[in-house]
Amino acid sequence: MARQKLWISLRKPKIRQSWNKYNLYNLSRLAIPSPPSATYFQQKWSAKAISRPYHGGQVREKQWARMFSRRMPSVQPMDYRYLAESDGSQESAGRGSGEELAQKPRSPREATPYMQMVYHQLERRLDTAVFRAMFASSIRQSRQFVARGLVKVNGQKMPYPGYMLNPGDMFSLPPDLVMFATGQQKPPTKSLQQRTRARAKPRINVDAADAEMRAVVDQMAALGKDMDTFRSSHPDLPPPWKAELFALGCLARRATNNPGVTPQVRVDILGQLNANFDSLKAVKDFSSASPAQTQAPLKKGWERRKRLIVRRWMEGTAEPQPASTNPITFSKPYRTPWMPRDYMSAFAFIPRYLEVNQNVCSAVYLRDPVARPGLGEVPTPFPTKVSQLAFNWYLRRR
Amino acid sequence: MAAPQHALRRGSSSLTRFTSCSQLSSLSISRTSTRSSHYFRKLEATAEKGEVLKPMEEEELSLKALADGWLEGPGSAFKDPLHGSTNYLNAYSPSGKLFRLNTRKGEEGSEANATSDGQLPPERLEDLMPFPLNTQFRSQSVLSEELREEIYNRVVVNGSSVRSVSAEFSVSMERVGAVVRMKQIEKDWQKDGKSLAKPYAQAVLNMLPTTPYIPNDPQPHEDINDLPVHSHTTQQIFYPTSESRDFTRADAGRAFNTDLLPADARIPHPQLIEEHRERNFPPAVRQNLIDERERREIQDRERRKQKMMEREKRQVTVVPGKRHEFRFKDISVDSVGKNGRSPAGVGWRYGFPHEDRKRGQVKIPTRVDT
Repeated sequence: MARQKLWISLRKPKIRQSWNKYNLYNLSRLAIPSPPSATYFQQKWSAKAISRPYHGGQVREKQWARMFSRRMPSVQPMDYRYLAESDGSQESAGRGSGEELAQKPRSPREATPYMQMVYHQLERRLDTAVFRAMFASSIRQSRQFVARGLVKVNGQKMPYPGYMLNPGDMFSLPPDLVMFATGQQKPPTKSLQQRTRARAKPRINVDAADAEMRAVVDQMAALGKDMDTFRSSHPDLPPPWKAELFALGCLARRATNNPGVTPQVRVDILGQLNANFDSLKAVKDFSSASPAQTQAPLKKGWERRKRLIVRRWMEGTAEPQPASTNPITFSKPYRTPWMPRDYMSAFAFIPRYLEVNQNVCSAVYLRDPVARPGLGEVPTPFPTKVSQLAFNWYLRRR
Repeated sequence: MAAPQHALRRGSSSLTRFTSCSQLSSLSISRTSTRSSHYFRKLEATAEKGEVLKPMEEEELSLKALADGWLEGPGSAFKDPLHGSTNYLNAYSPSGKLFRLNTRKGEEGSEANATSDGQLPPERLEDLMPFPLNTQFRSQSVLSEELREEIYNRVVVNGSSVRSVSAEFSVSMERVGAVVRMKQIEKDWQKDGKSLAKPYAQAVLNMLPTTPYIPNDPQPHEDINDLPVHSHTTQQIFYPTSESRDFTRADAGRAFNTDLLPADARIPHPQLIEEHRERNFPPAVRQNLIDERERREIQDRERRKQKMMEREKRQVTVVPGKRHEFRFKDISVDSVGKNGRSPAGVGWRYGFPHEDRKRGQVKIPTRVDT
């Protein structure tokens, strides 16, 4: 795949299979003009040029032209009641135009948008299906996942993005990978300068530390456990208090596990967290008091961290989730607690030819996409006019 | 509107070279926002006066700034998901207002209802279109967690047939199979203590329309009796027949192609037709007929399986030895085809070169067996 310099451009906007915010902007201002004086060839060319970057932009033109099929799969939903009550002879009665019925005739069906199915073959590709199942935030990312051998088809590694799925094929990705692709990104890592400065400092080895140090670490861990038991014994705690407790627990764990925290700071922060937890335990009526009134502020840096954790907790959970399903974990490649990527909801849809189980990050390709009355199942941002012109382009009778 | 033409070209879509300028102006002016609103006000004012905006002023707003202006303004609605609702482009006006709330405003006192209990009114059909220009595509509902669980329970725990569960919940048989298959994996993971992507699943299902599970009131999910359009039926044919004849669907099928069955036999759930014909029978009789049909279907399946096994057995000659048995099967050398390269053929002819190093040979597998 030839890599273009700018995939999502504002100057020459092309709609892509991506959840990028500028792609959304381009989509919002997409207008298909009616050309005043274009030849038929020009119209077809421009329709193809608009639609191809979205449909299989990663597939070479020759490859796609080979794949193109003029057959448009479609279905008509049948009503079993009608089939049971009539054998169809009244539709062809008389001279073939059907019986004139006393009751009102069946309502005319919506037209089937056959032309929206031009690119239906591309929907079979593994990389496209991974994107359509909402397991990756762009077609490039899904292609990368496949090419790196992270996607399995029916339990076997399938490193070919161009593998054409067959009906009944199940593809699965590791949940962490999907959560990385669809979740908020981690804040940027430290600069090289900051990192070298940090390395210059002597590292504290917990194993080699004296007994006093070990005691501090143990106390920290015990404090974290105390907080967990307190939380589970108070299930009806108001959300601000839950967030406060959660933040204290996080800080305790952070101070314990982070080797960069000096012993002095550790002792300090342990004292402060203990004091805060004690004052929290002393609160009689949680619904009338607020954490800000009773909780003493921590040291400057730690106070900021605590506020951040509280804010994230409150934002991320309209209904408070148990910390065990969406914990703060620093080892994960995404920002924790997990939250969906920005602008994801504007692109969130799963076509009917896929059945997705988000819990295990697997999906089954049920059948090929079809056109049905009033609905073309191939997700395309372009109107029928454009698709029809593109279809005519690929008929190779220009 | 001749004046602002060149001024607008920079900030707008130049998707094709046929883009007409009147469309451009309507397109861009509607997208006012915090940073760009000042510029647009100025632009509108100059357009009304019939003046042209100076190139210097045109430069002051870069494309990036326009885009960021939209993202801060009307586009900010898409940054976070709407709670318990879909959140597509088509549900919002160009200025970033949710249409659903606006329409409620016209009615008396209903807007207060819509916002006071924190629930948005249900989506209209247009609100479910992620692509504003493509009205032929809409986001269709997915199965809710509860419905998936219920389908799994019906099939695996209660032992109901896939066909009956499919008909009951109006979920296609393929989907029922897929749900059960993946739900089984989910259960196995839970048993093994592997962590599920719960936060992800919750967030995604919150963004999508879902088919709920309401006990004793199944909500239809999709059309289950889809008739695939057969290529033989896509042409019009002139078929002369007598007026007095009852020309039925079966006749019509035969007219298109001698082997084409009528729709009654080609839909996935033909048993629903029988059940509808028997709808006025006493319940006990109906149940008997349903059971009989199910039994017959199972018998048929068994018989077909048996037949296939027998055929395979006939093709193999078994010669028992002391410790092993030798199995001989007739193979035709012609199965490799005329050029000796058919993948269905058996064996590789001596001296016949492989083509796999040749240019343009695709080695991507075409199927993966379960």
